[in-house]
Amino acid sequence: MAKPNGRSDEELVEASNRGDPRAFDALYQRHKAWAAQLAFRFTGNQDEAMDIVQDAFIYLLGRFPRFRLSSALTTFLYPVIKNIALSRLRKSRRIVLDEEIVLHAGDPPLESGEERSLADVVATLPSIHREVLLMRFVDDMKLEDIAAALAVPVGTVKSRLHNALKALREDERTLRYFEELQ
Amino acid sequence: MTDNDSIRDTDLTAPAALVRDLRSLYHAPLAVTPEVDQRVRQATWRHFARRGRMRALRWLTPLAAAAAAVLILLPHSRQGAVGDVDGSGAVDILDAFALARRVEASESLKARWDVNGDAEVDQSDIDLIAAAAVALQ
Repeated sequence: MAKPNGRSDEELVEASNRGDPRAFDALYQRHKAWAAQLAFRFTGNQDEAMDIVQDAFIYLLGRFPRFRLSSALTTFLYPVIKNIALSRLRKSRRIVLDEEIVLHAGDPPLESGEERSLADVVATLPSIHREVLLMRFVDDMKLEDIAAALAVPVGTVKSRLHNALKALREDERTLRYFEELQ
Repeated sequence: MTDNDSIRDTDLTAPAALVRDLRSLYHAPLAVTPEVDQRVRQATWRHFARRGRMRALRWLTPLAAAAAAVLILLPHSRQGAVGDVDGSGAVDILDAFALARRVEASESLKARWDVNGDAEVDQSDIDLIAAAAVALQ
């Protein structure tokens, strides 16, 4: 048998569909840290992030043995984690607007003045721009995968990302990043 | 807003320093707790065991299952029971997962994990522990 951790996500999904729990465990091991980071980004709370990771993978588990992976697994998991996080936040904090949650939750700890400036500017971005910015450059997702995860056209993703970068380029607090290119 | 068609790919790239600082800010390591690991693994095993129980039991005849169960439950030495990979004092599906990870990672393997007695610790031992765990449920 091939090594589970040496197999692609597609191969592990196939093996899981055939009933191999080790293959699913390998998928979990591979993606759990990313899932935890993402859940924390939405909630800003470590305990809640742990619960969300658990719920998300148990939800994924329920999709087997008929799960079809049409894109990256993170593309499937992203909306699952986001929806679970928003549902939990709505329930616990009675927040209604998704915009508020995505914009304000999960701000990272700041270590330096430069990072604070960047975080401040990112926090002022419209949530839909901020989300795409982080998916592209923090989660390293492809534009097509971001589009699939958010259920929007690729052109919309490009537009949001362009506007996010434009805002950073035009803000004096983050202008220096772009000046270094010139 | 920008016309999507006028956006060039080069407009969608970020300077390396910006990417680095974004990751530093928003990519803080967050370890999943062992409790979550355990709950997901238990759910995983229950899920697949439910669906594959008949197949597993066909593969492992009742006699072999009983033999494996006895072998695994039998105290082997002061170091613990045969198949008790995680040292919890009990043999269950978590031991199968734990052994699978060690085999995959090519970590040092202990002789008492050689459940089938063929002088090697490999996939067949993982399968035997997993199958015995099903039989014991």
